[in-house]
Amino acid sequence: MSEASYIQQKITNPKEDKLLYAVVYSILFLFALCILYPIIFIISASFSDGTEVQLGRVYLLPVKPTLDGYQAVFSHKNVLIGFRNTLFYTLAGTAINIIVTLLCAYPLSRKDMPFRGFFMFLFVFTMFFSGGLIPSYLLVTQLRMINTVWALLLPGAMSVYNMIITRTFFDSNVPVELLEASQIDGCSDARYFFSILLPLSHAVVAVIALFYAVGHWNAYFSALIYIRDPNLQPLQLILRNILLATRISLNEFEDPDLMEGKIGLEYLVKYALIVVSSAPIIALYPFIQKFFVKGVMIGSIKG
Amino acid sequence: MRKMVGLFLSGLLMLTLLTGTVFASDLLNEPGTLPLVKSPVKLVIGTPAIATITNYDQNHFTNYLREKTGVDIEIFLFDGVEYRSQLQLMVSANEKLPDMLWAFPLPPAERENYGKQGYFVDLLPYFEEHKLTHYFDGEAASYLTEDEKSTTLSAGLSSNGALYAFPFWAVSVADPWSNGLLINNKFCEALGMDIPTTIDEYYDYLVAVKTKDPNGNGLNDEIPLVGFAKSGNGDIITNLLNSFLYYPATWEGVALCADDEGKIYVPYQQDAFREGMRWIAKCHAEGLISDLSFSQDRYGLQAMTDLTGDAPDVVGSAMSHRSYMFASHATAERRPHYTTIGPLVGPEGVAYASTWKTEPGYVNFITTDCEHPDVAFAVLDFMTSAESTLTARYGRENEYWRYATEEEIAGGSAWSDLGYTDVLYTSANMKLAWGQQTDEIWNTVHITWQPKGFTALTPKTVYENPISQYNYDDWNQGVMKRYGQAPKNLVGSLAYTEEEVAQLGTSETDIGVYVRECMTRFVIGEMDIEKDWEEFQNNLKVMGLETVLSCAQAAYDRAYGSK
Amino acid sequence: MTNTPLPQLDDQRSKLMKQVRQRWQLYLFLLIPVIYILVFAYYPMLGVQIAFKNFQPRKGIWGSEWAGLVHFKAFFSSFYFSRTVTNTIRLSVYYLLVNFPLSIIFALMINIIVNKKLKHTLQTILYIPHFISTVVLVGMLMQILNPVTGLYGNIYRLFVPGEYPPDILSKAQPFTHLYVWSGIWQNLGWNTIVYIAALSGTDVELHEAAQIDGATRLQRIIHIDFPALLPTASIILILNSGSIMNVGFEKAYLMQNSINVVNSEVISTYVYKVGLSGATNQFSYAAAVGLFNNVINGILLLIVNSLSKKLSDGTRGLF
Repeated sequence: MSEASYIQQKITNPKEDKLLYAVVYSILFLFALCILYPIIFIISASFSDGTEVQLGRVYLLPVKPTLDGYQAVFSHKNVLIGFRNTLFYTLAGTAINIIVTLLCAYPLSRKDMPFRGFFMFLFVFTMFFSGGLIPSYLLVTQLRMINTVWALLLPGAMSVYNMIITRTFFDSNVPVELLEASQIDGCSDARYFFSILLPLSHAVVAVIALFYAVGHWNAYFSALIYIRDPNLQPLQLILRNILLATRISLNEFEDPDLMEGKIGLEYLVKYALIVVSSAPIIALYPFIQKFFVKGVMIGSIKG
Repeated sequence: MRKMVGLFLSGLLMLTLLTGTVFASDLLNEPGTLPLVKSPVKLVIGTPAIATITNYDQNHFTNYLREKTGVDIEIFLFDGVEYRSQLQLMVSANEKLPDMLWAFPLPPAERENYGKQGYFVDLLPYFEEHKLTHYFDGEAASYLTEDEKSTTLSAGLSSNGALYAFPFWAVSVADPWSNGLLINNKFCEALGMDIPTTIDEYYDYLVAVKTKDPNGNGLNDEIPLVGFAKSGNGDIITNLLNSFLYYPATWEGVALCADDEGKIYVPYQQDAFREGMRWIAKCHAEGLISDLSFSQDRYGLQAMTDLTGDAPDVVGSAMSHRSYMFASHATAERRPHYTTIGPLVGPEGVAYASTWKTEPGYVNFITTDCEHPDVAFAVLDFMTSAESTLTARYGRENEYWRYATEEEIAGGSAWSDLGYTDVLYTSANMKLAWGQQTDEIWNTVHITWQPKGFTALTPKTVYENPISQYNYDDWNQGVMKRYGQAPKNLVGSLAYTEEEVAQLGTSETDIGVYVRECMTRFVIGEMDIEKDWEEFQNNLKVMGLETVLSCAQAAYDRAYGSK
Repeated sequence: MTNTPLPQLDDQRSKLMKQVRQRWQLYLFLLIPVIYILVFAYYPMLGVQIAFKNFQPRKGIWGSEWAGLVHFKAFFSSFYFSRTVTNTIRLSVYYLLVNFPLSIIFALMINIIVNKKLKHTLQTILYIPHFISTVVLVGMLMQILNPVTGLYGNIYRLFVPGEYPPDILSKAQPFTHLYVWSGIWQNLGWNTIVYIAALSGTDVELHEAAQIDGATRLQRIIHIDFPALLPTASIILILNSGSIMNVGFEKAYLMQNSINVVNSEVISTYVYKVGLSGATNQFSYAAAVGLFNNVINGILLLIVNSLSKKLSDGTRGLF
């Protein structure tokens, strides 16, 4: 009989545990309900007639079900171009992000590296002081990155916030004994990183990959400023323009005919847009979860 | 390089002012002939992209202009929302600007700033020369009243006397008079009351709605008065105040007014303002005004009025611009339940309509990067013609609009009662491009010449749908009651000098926000109109109201005083 | 006066240089990030001088005239200075005080779910609201809370027919609570992700050992799970204190109305309104306000950082 099953038999759930589980499960269940209701509302609204949504008559289930909202979104040819572009920016961008972040976080996690505090300060300082839009634009212009994909991939190559999270993981989740042991064995700093540290860091790499990917997925302002070529536009920018097209402008003088054309269109499209723009990235999470594996440390140090 | 071109062109304009002649262009044909140019000239036109336009380059209006003017037009698109920032970035990075910027709204101070820094061409000399203003001085002027003729250029002057933009009018007869109250006529019937015309009758009506259950369902669910927030259209307070003194339709701006002698004042320092606030506060204290008027947007109002089936009416009266109470007029069951009224006569006999000074838009510019500003100006001049305007507003002739028939002309225009008897064109029952996904037009009024003398040139509209017809008729009779019910002098946009701008600082923003906040708080009772009045006035002074008034007076005198 | 350094310093310095030489690979790693930060963060940072100048695009950043503290003075002396700063800080701190413990607690709660499928499904549900745009969130909120046409009103009328409930949206007080709690609703699930990832690294053997010793699940949470979160949690707390002044413009602006403006006018909405009027030099003004925000943020971060170090004997800190 294995040690594990012997332990299993030994462990019984005391009464207090049952109470705890009951409390926790109920709280989580209630919270999930609070979230589920509006989510279902949004999905239903995206399938409902626009006027009904606008007048607040949709509560839970679709009213006057229709695919018009989705049709309105996908009838724009450039939505597919946007998807393609954003896919590229997300994959390429996240790859660059992870590489630069790891390159930065590892040395800063080594307490035995001289001037560590200085470098840390160098990076953290930039979280607070920035020149703003104009100097950044001038820089991108001078580097001749305007209207190229690099304008969307390079300026945001590393988020100091994410880098700090990574460094914290390296610091606290990996015991310093591992490093010492490897140094005794003559392992170089670089090799330690690639052979030991990195394989143990699934969880944090998964987390920052998710954060960066979502950042790229939702981005539109940089593209607005730096990209003129419609073939390079990301999805969110195109979706934003679709939504803008449905807004009834208050500036132009109106006549009843004008209003007819846009009735309910804004509300029709708004919810379908949310579903279209967020569904793919939400579907990403289950894959990320696989990396949050428990007990990765088993067997690494014995005795 | 840009600096040199800029200097050269500025020097040129100086020369123009001194010698009074425009540099004669070999490129242009005689005024009045089309095409405008002898041989193709290329002009790049920058414009904020309106999201419903599917194609600007092969757009029907763009091709129309190319054909008529002979100019090779290239389009440069800015973002529809962030175009101001984009322009600033381009300018900071010394990029070459398009030759012209069209439909590019900028606040007057920013326009002046760009002009003074040498990015926009001063167009006043061109206008004063009268050499390139064939359509502007001809056709276009024929639709203007004398008053409008003098305003067209002067309202756009910067504080240094330069005109950095080409004016384009875009007003309808009805629009400045379209904010007002709608009364539920079914409730009036049930209560046995007439539609109120004075403030006292209106008060009685509100009380009756609240207490006598006009929708007959035995529940106390009636809402006597409701409006909406975030825009002047649904603004209860400023609209009702006009029964006590004139209050312009502004949301969070400083409500500058001018008396008959041209002296600038603000309504909130007047006793009549205090009287009006007392009256409105009293109504609120008695539960006659819904608090939602201060937080909801127009869709919130719609949800209350645009009801169907068995749902009983709850709204006794609503403050709205005509289009906002119902999602779609064709299917708005309850629209006929509401009647638009004119201004309510106040206790001192005051009955103004809350309106604003109509001015042209100054949002079309010729940049100093343009190598042929005279050709550019000629194109803009051509766009003030009726045909260009109609093509830009509607689309192709005979598909989207047509000239009126003899019959229609004889029938008179929709606004004959106001003196606009002529009829020129109509778009009724034809294809519609405005507001749709299209490549027929640019969907902006800023490239059309539509003073009210032009927009009034349509025949009376006849709708097949009775609700649409009711909506049209009801609203127009309200407009007729309000038309012209405003003081002689209205204050429009003002051009401040650099010193004045520095003096003003953030005062205008502060005062605008503060007044809006206090008006609401006076009404809902959080501030007491008797006890807190002093503090209100003091705070205004602290924020710099005196400076705002004196700067405004100076700017106003510069623009209108010498007339 | 001789220039010979003291022997100890000499010794220390050569020790240092030896260490630097030993760790050369680490510096190599840092090369790319440092170049990146110098080019894309520090070089544009020189543009921060816009805040002290009257920026004119024609003259550029370097050529524009110095205006000293004029824009700062304009902001500080504005009637609304104290209101906007107070509102901004109040919203941020309130949110921080609620979000920080709740994220940790919820992460711990989610972590104890045994059934993997349930756990994963729950996590996915909880973080979906993060993707709802602000515009839609506020729109839904206002629709639900409408006393006449919303869910709030309809439920009230089930109990009190024909009457309208008190209007929450048109009052000043509820704004702060609505703003913060709607933010919690939206972001709580997302904020637990980092902690859940941290918890996945806890040693299973530790748990088994504790169970054998008879510890309840609750005790295990307190003594094993929670300490595993502490390093990440402290860093996140420190970093969040460094963004107290950054209350976004969009949500406050959408939820603002003339009644709640006393609580809802934050720095970003005010700067937006000033920019709209076009009267001031809006670039320099916005830059000055932004710089002020950043300085306050930086100071707060340093304070919280040193507090954290004090409380943890120097282990939990950013530097």
